[in-house]
Amino acid sequence: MEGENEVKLHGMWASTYSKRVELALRVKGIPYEYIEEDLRNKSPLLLQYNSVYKKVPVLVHNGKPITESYIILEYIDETWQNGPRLLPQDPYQRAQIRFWASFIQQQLFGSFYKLISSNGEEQEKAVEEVFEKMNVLEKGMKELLPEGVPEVDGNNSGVLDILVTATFGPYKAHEEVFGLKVLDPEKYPLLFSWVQKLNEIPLVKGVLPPHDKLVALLQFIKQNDLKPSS
Amino acid sequence: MAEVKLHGTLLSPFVYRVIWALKLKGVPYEFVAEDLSNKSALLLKHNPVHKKIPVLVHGGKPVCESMVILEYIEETWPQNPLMPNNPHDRALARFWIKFAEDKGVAVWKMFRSTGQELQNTMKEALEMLQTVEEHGLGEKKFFNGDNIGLVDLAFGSIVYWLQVIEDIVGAKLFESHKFPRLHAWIETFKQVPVIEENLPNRDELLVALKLRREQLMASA
Repeated sequence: MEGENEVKLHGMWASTYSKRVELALRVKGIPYEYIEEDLRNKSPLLLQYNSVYKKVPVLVHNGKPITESYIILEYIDETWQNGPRLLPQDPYQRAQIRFWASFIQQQLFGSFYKLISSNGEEQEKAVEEVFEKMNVLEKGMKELLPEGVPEVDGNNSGVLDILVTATFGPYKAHEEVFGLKVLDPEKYPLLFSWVQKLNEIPLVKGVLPPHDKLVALLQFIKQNDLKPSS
Repeated sequence: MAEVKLHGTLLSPFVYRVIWALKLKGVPYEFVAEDLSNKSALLLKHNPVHKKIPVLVHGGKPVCESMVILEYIEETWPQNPLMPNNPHDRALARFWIKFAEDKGVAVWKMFRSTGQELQNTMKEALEMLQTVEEHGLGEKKFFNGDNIGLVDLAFGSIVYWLQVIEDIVGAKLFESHKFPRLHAWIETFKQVPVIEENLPNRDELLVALKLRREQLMASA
């Protein structure tokens, strides 16, 4: 029916948060219209839909906006109950996933941000912090997935797969620009092998930003000392 | 029913969020008092990542982070729902919960700072209040509508503690003429029977927090 289940996504091609939502929509098989936002010249619609933060991504479902990427993932899971579940049913397992989603967001991303926006001694400290947090994440995922990473394909991806893909999928571009190996296979074998598996999935290949284009953007941001923002 | 334990202290706004949720749902639990200067082996075992309170332990399984705990409580004990029914309103509630987590930090930073840093954190706290006043509450009685919900618990702890911390640091942020909606809301919040019966005594909290702040400043 016209207008029913109309889904639009306001996003940005290089934004890891935007990618999370694209991945989720595709895993669920939800048709959507994608609207690319120029973050230096945000559309009036975006500013209206996300009046508090003025950021991407924003999902607009039948005219109603939902903001904050992780919240959008839970919204998608609750609203489209056909297709693969992004989150398990069991409340304890859901709590575990929410805990780690929060860790990735607040702790890990916080450290990444410090890393790319600091210099000299401060940056060295930031590097140490990143490795520490990666360690914690690796350990946490080992406990959460005692049988190792399950075989993933586009049909059984869950929220953690999506977060890991969006965060680490483009790791080669990050390494090239920032000259730092964060996703080290020797230090973090589970995370590394997980990312390799995820990056093989056609659905993922179709969503993640093209390597060269991303490298060029990150170089530009780095050289102009800009801060990443959504 | 599996046993429920809550590890925490009675000074922590995060712990109170969990107490309120458990009481609103009528879930019996055992409170395990922690000494933060000497954390129990059990606490460190249950929360190895952050080593913080609150930790809810249900049937021996730990859940950490106050708002993660609150959603767990909501999903495990569905009676007296504290979240809206439909996905869009739930997404909106989660937005404000996240906002409370991300921006409410300013209040705790205020408590720990002096001088220029205090001025900066006060400004952040003020901005947070302004956003919530303007966008968060509308004309509703509670953030959750007609009935108290998780978003109210998230902000309730922030605002109640802010009112005490303001006195301690000598700030005047949360003025009623600037924040009429929030002022009406916090009074309504405090009068909900479960909340009223489970709020730390203001004077005792003031004394305890004052002491804690002095200790923090001395060791800085």
